[in-house]
Amino acid sequence: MKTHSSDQIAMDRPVRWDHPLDPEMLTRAVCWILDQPPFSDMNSDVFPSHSSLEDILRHDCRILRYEPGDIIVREGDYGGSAYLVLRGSVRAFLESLWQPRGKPTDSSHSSTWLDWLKQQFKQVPLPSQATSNENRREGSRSGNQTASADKNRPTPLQQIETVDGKSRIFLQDINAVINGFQSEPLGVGEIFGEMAAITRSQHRYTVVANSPTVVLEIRWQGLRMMRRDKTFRDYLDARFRETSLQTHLRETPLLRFLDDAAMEKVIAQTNIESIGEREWFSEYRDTQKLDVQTQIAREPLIAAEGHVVKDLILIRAGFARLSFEQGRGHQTVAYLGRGHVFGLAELAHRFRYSANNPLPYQESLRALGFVDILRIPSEIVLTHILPKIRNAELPKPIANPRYDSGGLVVSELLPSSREGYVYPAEKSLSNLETSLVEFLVDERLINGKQTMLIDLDRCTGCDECVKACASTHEGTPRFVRNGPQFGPLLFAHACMHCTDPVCMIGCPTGAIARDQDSGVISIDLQTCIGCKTCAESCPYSNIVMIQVRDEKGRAAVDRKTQLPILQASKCDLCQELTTGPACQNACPHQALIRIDTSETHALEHWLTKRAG
Amino acid sequence: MASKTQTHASSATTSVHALAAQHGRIGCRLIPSATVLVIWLVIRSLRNQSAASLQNEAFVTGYSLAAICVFLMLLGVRKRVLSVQLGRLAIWQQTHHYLGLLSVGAYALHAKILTTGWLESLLAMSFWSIALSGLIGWYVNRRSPRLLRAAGPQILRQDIPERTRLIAKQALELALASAGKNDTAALADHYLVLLSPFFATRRSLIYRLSPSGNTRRRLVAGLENIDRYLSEEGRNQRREMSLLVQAKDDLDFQSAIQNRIRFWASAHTWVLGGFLVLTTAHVIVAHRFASSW
Repeated sequence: MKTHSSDQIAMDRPVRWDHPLDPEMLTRAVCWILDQPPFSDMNSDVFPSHSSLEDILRHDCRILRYEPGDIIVREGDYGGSAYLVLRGSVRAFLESLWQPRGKPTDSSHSSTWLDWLKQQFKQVPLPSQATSNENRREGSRSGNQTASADKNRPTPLQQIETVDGKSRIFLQDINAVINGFQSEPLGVGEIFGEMAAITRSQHRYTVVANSPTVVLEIRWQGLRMMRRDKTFRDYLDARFRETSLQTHLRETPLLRFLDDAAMEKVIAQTNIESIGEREWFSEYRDTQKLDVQTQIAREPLIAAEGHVVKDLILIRAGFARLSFEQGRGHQTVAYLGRGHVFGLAELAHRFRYSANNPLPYQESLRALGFVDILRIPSEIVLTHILPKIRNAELPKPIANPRYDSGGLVVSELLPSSREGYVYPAEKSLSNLETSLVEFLVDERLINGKQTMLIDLDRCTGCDECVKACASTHEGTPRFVRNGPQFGPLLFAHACMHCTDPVCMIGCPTGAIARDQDSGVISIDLQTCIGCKTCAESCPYSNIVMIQVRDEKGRAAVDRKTQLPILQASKCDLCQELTTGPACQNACPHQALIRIDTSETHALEHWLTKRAG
Repeated sequence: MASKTQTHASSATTSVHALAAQHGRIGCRLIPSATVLVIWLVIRSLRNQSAASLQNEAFVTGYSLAAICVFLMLLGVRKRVLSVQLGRLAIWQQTHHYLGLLSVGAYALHAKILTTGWLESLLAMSFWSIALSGLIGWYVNRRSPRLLRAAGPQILRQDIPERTRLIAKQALELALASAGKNDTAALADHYLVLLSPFFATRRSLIYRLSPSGNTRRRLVAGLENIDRYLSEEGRNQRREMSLLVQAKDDLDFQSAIQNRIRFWASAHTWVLGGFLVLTTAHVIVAHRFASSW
């Protein structure tokens, strides 16, 4: 690094692989890996000369060793890497190993004034804590079914031990755990963790070493490059479909009463479909300029209203728009995400009341960007699933269907009555007003896990939030107090730490990554090379490029080209502060909150509270 | 039809939420008002004890007032300390408001509204200035969100000059387009005489202190009056010009409101500096010349 002028400093522009995953990866080890399947079967010609397979293995991979019982992947943690078994064997537990330990604590459950007083001075929940609790809850959702299936099964105990300065987390009495829980063995050449890495989501299962095991960790960037090889890509896709189908069905509460034989039948008959592009942001940017009805018409149709219910549709990942025709357009009723089911009410109606006169789909379902769905054929649902569900758990009967077997029920002679159709409140998935749901969907704010919401009925524009953010981040605020507005609600341009963080897709170095425990997406400034891929991918313009500065505040320029050296900058939810996001803490008017908009109930709760 | 796999929003949850909401609302009022009440009772008690034991009660009330002022200043510290958990800023802010009112009561116990002597008079003036600026600041803060919302989508203060410049440019281009043609020339003339200063210059100090829609209404009405001299094309241009006038006025309004908040916050802090110096001098003088504690 050398001084260029008083306010600038010249330095070498950072490049990809400046910081390999394992700096101590040996050439010998790389050669050995290249001789192992599936790498030995790969066609090296498909890789460009600047990113050969050898380079990928050297920079984006590392070798990890595990003892029997060691946890390699833990359910609920966010994944950024896939793992390939090189030696030994592992066990993937298809059901949750950990059951909920009592009722989750909720600040709103304070019962005494003392509790409440403590609550007032309690720190604002850290995003990491909030997300971790949520992880546990998500884990517990799948755990509930396990609990109901076998209450006597022991909870596996995790232990942490330090060996040679490195800590290892392992399960006590691995053999008992293997006997007590359903698991699948994986041997040499098999891959796991790829599902979470590809979808940038949480691991749905725990993987534990079964014997002394050597595993190759391939970070997402390397995995993406390796997908250039067709055989490897096909293998990954097949594995992804098989694993995700099984895992999702087993953790669907609706199917928790099914015995093993019925479950096997359901698994055999279910199809998994991926609809839309994983890199949906570019198309979204284009369609955003169009009018809303054209946008909706362009969204891939998963199921059309008025059509015969052929399948029960389970959303595995992504989001879908639930709408019905209203006048010349479509009215959005709700958005469905992971864990939601479409078509159940119609099938339940058919099961209970009118086997000979079934109702068609009452609404349409369209993919918003990218969505993974599972289709369970109606016959399977009617014969194997619905008979096992208690009546009380089934959806309410459809009292006034919009469509019956004869088509649209509302008279065609009275078009005004059709245009004026009001969606029945009992059918609504949320209490949010339709226009707000439509706004959230159209702006794709449904992707946000930590959306910054500013109440303009309280905000005075004092900028205390911006000042607090700047003072926490070396004088540069990491958000803009502006953005899409819905009435008095301002959704500011601050990273939402999305459910589907598309910003991570193209990062060549893995600098932008999701924290394994907290789910917070942050940028590692050491490895960011300023390629702008993340900033250009973010559909919400919540990532900006700023010039790198040294500790004296001098702007960095490229030694060769004299062009500024940039780095991506975005909200990191003040991870270094123990008090939570500074912006939220600094607001004197309680106008700013961070809220999960991927589900409607957090927003509903907040709006109820706001209305008083 | 879609179903949720999770059960939620039961009536029990709703009541818990309602209770939590009630707690939140009460929290911001109850804690500060209870604090203030306790402090007031303590001051009164100390003052009575002091009077009963024939001590100089001015010291009790004076130091109480000084202590309240220190607590009031802690809000500024709280705003800057983000890494330590010190409770919600909203509660601090509310406590600040209530203590501010209490300080007026404590001041009334300590001294009369008008005092004699130049040091005491200056001190009294600075105290009342702080109290007044605080009161105005509180009122402005309460009223601003509604006013800002009325002026359309919120615009960042730093973006306002650039937007104003763009609107002025559009207005000029529209005026130039209408100039030189009989059908539309009246608009250009009107722009030159009445609208050009409105688009090109800052609003008056009076407007910035107390923004209103009077000028906008006058200018828009004036524009409508020239319709009789315009062709259909000219009327369309006139309507565009009216929209630009409204857009500029909205920006001016937002700017005035946002600046007003900052002005009163800054004024409150500036006067505080003088007050601290005068208070220190007053304490020294009081101890130097007081006959007894």
